[in-house]
Amino acid sequence: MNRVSAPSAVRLRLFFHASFRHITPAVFAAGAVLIIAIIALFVKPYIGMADNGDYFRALYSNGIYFNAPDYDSSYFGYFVRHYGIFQYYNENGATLTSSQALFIKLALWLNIWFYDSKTFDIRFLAAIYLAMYTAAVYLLVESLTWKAPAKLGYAVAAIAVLAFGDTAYTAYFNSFYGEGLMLVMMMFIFACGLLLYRGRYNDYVMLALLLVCSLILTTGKQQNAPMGVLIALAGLFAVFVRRSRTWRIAAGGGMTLLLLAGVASYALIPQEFVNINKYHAVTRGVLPDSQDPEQSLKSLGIDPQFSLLSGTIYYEPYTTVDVNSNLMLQQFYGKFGFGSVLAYYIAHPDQAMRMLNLAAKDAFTTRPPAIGNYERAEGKAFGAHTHFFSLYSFLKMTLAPKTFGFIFLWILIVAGLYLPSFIAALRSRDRRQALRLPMVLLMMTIGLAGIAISIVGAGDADLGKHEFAFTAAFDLVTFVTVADVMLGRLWRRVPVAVRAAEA
Amino acid sequence: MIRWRTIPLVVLALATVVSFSGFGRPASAAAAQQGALLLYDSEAKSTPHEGNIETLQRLLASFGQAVTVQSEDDYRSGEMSAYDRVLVVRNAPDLEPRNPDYIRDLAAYGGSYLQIGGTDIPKRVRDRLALRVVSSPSAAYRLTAGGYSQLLPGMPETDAFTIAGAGGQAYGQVIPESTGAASPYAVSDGTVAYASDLESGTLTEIALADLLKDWLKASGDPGMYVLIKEIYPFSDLHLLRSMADKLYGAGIPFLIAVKPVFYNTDYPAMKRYLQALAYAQSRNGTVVVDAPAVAATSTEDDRSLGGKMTGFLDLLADNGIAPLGMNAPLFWAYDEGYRSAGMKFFDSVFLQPNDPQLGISASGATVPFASSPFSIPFEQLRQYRPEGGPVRQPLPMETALTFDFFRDEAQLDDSVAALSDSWIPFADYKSGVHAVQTENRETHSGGGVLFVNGKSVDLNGASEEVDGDYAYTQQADVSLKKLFSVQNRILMVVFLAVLSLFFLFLFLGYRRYKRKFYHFGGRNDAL
Repeated sequence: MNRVSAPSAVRLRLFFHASFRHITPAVFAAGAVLIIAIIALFVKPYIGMADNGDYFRALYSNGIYFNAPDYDSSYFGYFVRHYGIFQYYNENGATLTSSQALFIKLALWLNIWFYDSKTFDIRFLAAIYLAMYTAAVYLLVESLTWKAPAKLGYAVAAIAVLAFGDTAYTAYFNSFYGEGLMLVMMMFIFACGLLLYRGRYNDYVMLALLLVCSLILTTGKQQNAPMGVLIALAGLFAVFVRRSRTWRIAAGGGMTLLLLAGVASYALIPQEFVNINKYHAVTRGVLPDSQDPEQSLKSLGIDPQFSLLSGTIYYEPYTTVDVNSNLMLQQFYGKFGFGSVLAYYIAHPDQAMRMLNLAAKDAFTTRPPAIGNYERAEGKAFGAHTHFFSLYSFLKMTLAPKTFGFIFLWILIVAGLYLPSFIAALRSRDRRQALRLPMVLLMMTIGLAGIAISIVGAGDADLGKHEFAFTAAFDLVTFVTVADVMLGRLWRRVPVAVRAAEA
Repeated sequence: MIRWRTIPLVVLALATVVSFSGFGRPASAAAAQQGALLLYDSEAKSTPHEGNIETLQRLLASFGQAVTVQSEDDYRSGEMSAYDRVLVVRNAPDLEPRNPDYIRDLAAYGGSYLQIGGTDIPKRVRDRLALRVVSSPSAAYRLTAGGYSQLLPGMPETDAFTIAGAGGQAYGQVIPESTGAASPYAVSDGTVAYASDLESGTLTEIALADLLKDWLKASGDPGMYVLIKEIYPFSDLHLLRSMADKLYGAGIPFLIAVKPVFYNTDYPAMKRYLQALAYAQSRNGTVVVDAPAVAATSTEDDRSLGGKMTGFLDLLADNGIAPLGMNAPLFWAYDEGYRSAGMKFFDSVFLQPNDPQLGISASGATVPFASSPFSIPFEQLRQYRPEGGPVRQPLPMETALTFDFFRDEAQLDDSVAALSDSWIPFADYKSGVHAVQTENRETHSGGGVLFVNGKSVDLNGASEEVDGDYAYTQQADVSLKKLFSVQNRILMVVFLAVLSLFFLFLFLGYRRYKRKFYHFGGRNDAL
C-alpha cells in the first residue's frame, strides 16, 4: 500500500504545487467569480433584473422590442429573458446616445449568428459583460497580489470573490440597465490605474485600456458625464508616470480627449431628459425640505407660485400643468440651470446635508429593493430577490451606518491611510508611486459625484438607483484598502516592476 | 328674515323651470334618448378636412345630442336601426364604401339622415331633396352664413362639391370665385339633409350649426359667452384681477377656466390663487374647472382622478367659489374612464378640440350634457366678415368665444376693446342652471345667483390674509431638546478631539515607522 500510495501522494503534491504556480490569486478570484456568475446567470433558475420602465430606451433604438404578451405585468416584479428582434424597418431613433448601445448591438449580432434571428436572449449581453468583468476582476486582484505572499494573496482573492462575485452585482449583467457596464468599467479603470502604479504590465497598454474604459464609462449614461472630467483630472498624475515625450503626449492627449467626451456627453443630453431632471431637482430636491420654498424659488429666479409643485414628480398622471408645456419651458425650466441648483445647495449647507443624509440611506444598497430577480416561470413572489451568493451585499446593507457622516469618516480614514505614502513619493520625486492616492481619490469622487449629481440633478427622485456609482466605488476602494492593510502596503513602498522603476 | 331666506329657493325653482325649457335639447324627447350615430369614411389626417369629425361632435354636443361615433369600416350589421338619426361624413369621396353591412343598412335606413360631403348619397335622400351635387373646382369660394361671410381656399378636384340643384330648405350660400354662380351650402327637408363641406376653424361650422339646429329640432335662445382659458396658479394673478375689473367695467360677463391643483393646497401660493379666483367671481365672473393635464405615461390602472377632482372642487366650495362646469378636451367626453372619474361631477361642460399630437382617433359614445357651448376662439370669429348691421345676432348654437389668458395689460386692453366693439350681447352663464355635485358639496347657479350647499355665495366677502409665516416643514415633536443640544455639543467636541488625536498618532506613528524601516526590501518584499 505504502509503495503505491507514496508516489501518488508525491504526484498529488506536485500537481497542487504546479497548479498553485499557475493558479495565482488573480486567476483564482477571476475564475471563482466567473463560475459563481455562470451558475447565477446561465443556470436555472436564471437570475436577472426586472424592468423598471427604463428598458424601453435601450431596447427599441437598438432593434429589440418587448414581445412577451404579459410584459406589462412583469414591470418591477419579474426578470424577462427573451425579447423580439425587429424584422422590419425600425422607426425608433436613439433617444439616448450611449456606449451601452455598442454592447447591446454586439450581443444582438452574436444572438443572430449563434441562436435565433427573431428572439433575443439577454444572456448574450450577460456573456459579454461577464467576460469583461472576469478580466477586470483578474486585473484588479493582480494589481494588489502581484509579488505578495501567497497565503495573503489568496486571502485577498477570497475577499474579492465575496465582494464582487455577489449576485447583487452580477444580476445587473442580465439586464439592460447601464449599471452592469458601469461596474465593469469602474473596475477596469481602477485596476489599470493600480497596475500603472505598479508597472505590472506594459504602461501603454494599461493607459490605452484605462482611456477606452473611461470613454465607455463617461458616455454610458448622461449622469456619468462629470466622471470623464474627474478621470481626466486624476489622469494628470498618470501623465508624469514616465518621462518620455511619447508617453506624455499619449497620456496628455488621452486625458484631453476624455475631458472633451465628458463635456460632449453633457451637451448631448436630450432636452426632455434635461427638463425631467430640472423638474425633479426643484420639486424633489430644493422645495420639499426648504423652510421657505417661495424664497428658494426666488433665489433660482422662478415665480414663487411654483411652490405648489413641491414634492410632485414629472410622471404624475394628472397635473395642474403639462410638464412639457410652453408655460413650463418659459417660466420654469428656462429660468435656471444645474449650476444655480448647485449654488443653492452651497448657500444652504443645512439643506444640502439633509439631502446627503437622505442619499446615504440608500448608498449601501447594491440591489434595488423594488426590482425582482426571478423569471415569472420560477413561481416566486412578485419582486422576489435571490439569496444566492449575496452575503456581502446583505451584510453591507444591514450593517453599514446609513448617514453621510459615516461616508465622510470613511473618506477621511481611507485618504488619511494613503496620504503618507503619497507624500513620501512626492518627496522622493517618484511620480509612479504617487499615482495610488489619486486613483483612490478618483474612485471616491466618482462615487460622491454619483450622489451629488443625483441630488443636484434630480433631487430625491430615484435616488436609490442613481447611487450605484457610489456603491461600486465604496466596495472597490474598501476592498483595495483592506487588501493593502492585509499586505502591509499602506505606508511601505510597494514593489514595482524593475523596468517600470527605471522608466 | 324668513322671507329673505326663501328668495334663493324661489330663484332656484324658477331657474330650474327655465332650464328645462332652455336651449340645446331637441324638442323630441325620444330623439334625445336614442341619440345619433356618426359614421365617417376617413379622419382626413393631414388634409384641410382634418378635425372636422371632432368639430361635428362638439357641435352636436352643443345641441345636447347623445352621439356614438365610429368609422364605416367598424360598422356592424343592424347597428343603424338603434338610432333615429344618422350622420355620415365623407372625407374621402374618391374611396367607395367597402363594408357590405354598412352599404346594405344605409340603403335601407329610414330615419333622419344628414350627409356632409361626397357624391355617393343614398337614393332616398337624393329623391327627397331632388339633390344634384356636382364637382366644382375653384381657386376660392365665398361662403355666407349666419350673418357672416368668409373667403375659403379651393379644394382639390376630388373634394370640391357644390349643390347644383335641390328642393327643401337651403342653408348658407356658396359662390365659387371661378364661376360666380351661387348655390346653397346645405339643404334639408327637416328629416334628410345634405351639406357640401365642413372644415374646422371656418365659417362652415356656423353654416352647419344653422342646419343642425333645424334638423335636430332644437329650440330656445342660445347664449354667447366669453371664456378665458389657460388660467394657472402660476399665471399673473394681478393681471387676472385686472382682467376681471376691466371686463366688469365693460359690462361683459365672463367665464374663467381654472386649472385644478391637487397638491400643497394649504400653501400660501394656493391661498393667493383662490383669492384671485374669488375676486374674479365677485366681478361677475363664473368659474369652470379645467381638466387636469394628462401625462402620456398615465395608465387605466390609476384610479386617483375622481378623488383629486373631488378634493379640488370641495376646496373651491369651501373658499366661496362656485364652479359651474368643466372645460376639457373632447376625448374626455368620449372616454368612459375620464367621463366617469373626472366629468361625473358636472352637468355642464365646454369641449375643446383634442390636441392633434395626441393622435386620438374618433370613436366611442358620449352622453348629452345639460349645457355644452360650442367653443370658437374669438380671433377666429373676427376673421369672418359681418354682413348687415353692427349688432350681431346670437349664433345658432350656444357659443363660448374663447381667449387664452392674456400675456400682459396691453393684450388684455386690446381684447376687452374688441369685445366691446363687437356689439355681441354676451350672456351671463350663471343666469342658467348649472350644477356641480361631489359627495359632500353641491354648487349650482340660477338666475344669476351662485349657491354652495344651498346657501347663496357672498360675492363681496372679505378675503383672508395670506399667512406670511406659514410653516412649510413640520417640526417633529421633541422632548428634552435642551439636554440633547448640550449632548450634541459635547459629542462634537469629543469627536473633534478624537479626530485630532488620530491624526497626531498617525503622524507620530508614521515617523517612528519610517525611522524603523527606513531601508527598502523587508522580509515581506521577498516575493
